[in-house]
Amino acid sequence: MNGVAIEARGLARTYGRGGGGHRALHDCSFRLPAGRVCALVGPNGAGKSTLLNLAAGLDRPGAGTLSVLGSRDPAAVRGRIAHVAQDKPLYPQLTVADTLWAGAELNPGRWDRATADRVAGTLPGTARVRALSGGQRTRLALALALGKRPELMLLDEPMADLDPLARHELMGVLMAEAAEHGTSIVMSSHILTELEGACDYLLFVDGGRVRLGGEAEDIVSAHALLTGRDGDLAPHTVVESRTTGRQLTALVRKEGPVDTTAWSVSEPSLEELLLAHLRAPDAPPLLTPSAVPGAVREAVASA
Amino acid sequence: MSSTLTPPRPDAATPAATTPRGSVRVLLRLHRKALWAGAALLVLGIGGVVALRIWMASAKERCADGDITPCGGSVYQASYARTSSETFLAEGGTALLLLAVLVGVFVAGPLIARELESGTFRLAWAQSVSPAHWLAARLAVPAALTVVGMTVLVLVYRWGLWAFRGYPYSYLTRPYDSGIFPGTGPAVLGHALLAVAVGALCAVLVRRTLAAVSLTVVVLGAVGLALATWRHLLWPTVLRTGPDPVDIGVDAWDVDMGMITASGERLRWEDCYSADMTQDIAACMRDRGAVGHFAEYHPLSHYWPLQLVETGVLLALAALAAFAAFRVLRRLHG
Repeated sequence: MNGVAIEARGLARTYGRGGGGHRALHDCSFRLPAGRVCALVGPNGAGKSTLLNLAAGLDRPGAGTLSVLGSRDPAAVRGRIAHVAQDKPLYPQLTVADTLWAGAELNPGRWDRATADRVAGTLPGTARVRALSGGQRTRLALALALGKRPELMLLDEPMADLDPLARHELMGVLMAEAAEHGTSIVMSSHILTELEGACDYLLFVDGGRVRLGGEAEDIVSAHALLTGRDGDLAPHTVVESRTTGRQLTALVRKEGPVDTTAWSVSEPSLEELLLAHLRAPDAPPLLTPSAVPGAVREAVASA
Repeated sequence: MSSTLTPPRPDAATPAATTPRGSVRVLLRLHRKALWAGAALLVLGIGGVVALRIWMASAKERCADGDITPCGGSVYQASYARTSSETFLAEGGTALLLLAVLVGVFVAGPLIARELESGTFRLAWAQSVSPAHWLAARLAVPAALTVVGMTVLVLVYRWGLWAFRGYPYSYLTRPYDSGIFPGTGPAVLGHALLAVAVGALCAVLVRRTLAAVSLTVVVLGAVGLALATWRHLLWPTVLRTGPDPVDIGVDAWDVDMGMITASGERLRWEDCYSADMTQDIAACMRDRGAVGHFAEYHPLSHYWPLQLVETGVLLALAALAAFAAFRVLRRLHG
């Protein structure tokens, strides 16, 4: 598994025209190695859905390049991508069984009926989609997505309307699928805890660009939570600092060894890390080596 | 073992071949009710004409010319069945045109715009169907079904009109009547295909069910109205002058009639009417230099040229609209 699932360089997408257009994505660059389960997190309106739509070939970037599964045109490889949009689009007039049948018809040669049926599980086959609850719709949409045995799954807020039990179960199905077939999965959410634990990769999108990208562990361990008396934080990059009385608490990005005599050091949780970055929009972006796109890596490789 | 120089990546071996077959089958399943409704309309149309013919055949006509009063008498009376049937069938062409508009409305609304509006198009596109294939299925299936259904209805309609052949005083069902002409030949197929293409174009342009349907109706209405008004220009007319130019036959289509001067200039009766209602019209025309009558008309032999030119114009417009629909979709979604 040394392929690249998604690679974006200078990606931009603006909705609306002229100066009044809304910049959903702006100069967005990152790289997602294949075989990862990636959490795409960020506040509402950060550009998560836009990014997933572009990667699914449903929309075209205004600028920049995006290659998915090695293709410069994501739409050309749509057979190998599964995309579940936030509103779980399904034909309301079809029954559950008909919907799964349609999935098989639309994916000749790829459709894995057993998987689709397993994910659909207890859904009543004769029920019309319009009569299903939100959670049941999600289950059916995931069954369609997994049934086409994709190499890359793009899931936009997949667990938003599931109860904790169903969320746990479907997450288990997804993880099993990813482990068994080496499927790359990108799941977006604005609630990190929904995804934490399931994902080994992180893309934190804010303001239309990727601010943190890479292995979740590496990103966390690149930062430290320092507590101590007021003092000099150099050479570390300060993401956020707060003074309570004479006590200074700072979240820093480590640039070398930390002076443990002056500071009590602890590792921040992923949530603390993201919240600190949300509160500090000027903090510089951090991409781990595997998340750096393009030119640099290729130059190194060819040297 | 394959003999290619670069072995394909194992998981990229077969980019799923998207055949149109799956798209079409899913489309037919999605709109099963509409298919039944279409079939019902077809049966209704055929049944209506058959019923009228049976009714006419069972009417008691005493004479060969369809007279129900004593043969050769001074009174001619057609059977009630025949006059009624003629009244109904005189609007058959209009009915078929409305049916074509209905097809366009269906394509614009439920078939395309509703999917774009509700987001279900993303389901199909995420399931290995490219936007172009998706649209192509939504053009080809209604087009094929409509052409088949309309062809049957046109043949049945012609068979219905055939019943009035040979009867005197059957003036309601002449071949060039605007309520008949479009429905008796290939022109109505052109109207139907244009309806499908315009419906698709409107749908991808406005992406709202109601707006797309309304726009389709307006556009198709305008085309229908324009053709009804200027249809006679589609083929050169025949000019007839002389002592009895008005005698062009019942089935011919008089486009223009009036009087003509020695130099060939045409004079309109209306000018004399509007000048002075009370004066002698013939004298007025003579004063203006009229020396004879003229008639500009389409003889019955122009029926097929007119049908074919109208069909050609409509097919060209349909091709343009379909092309534009693909372009719009492509511009929006690649």
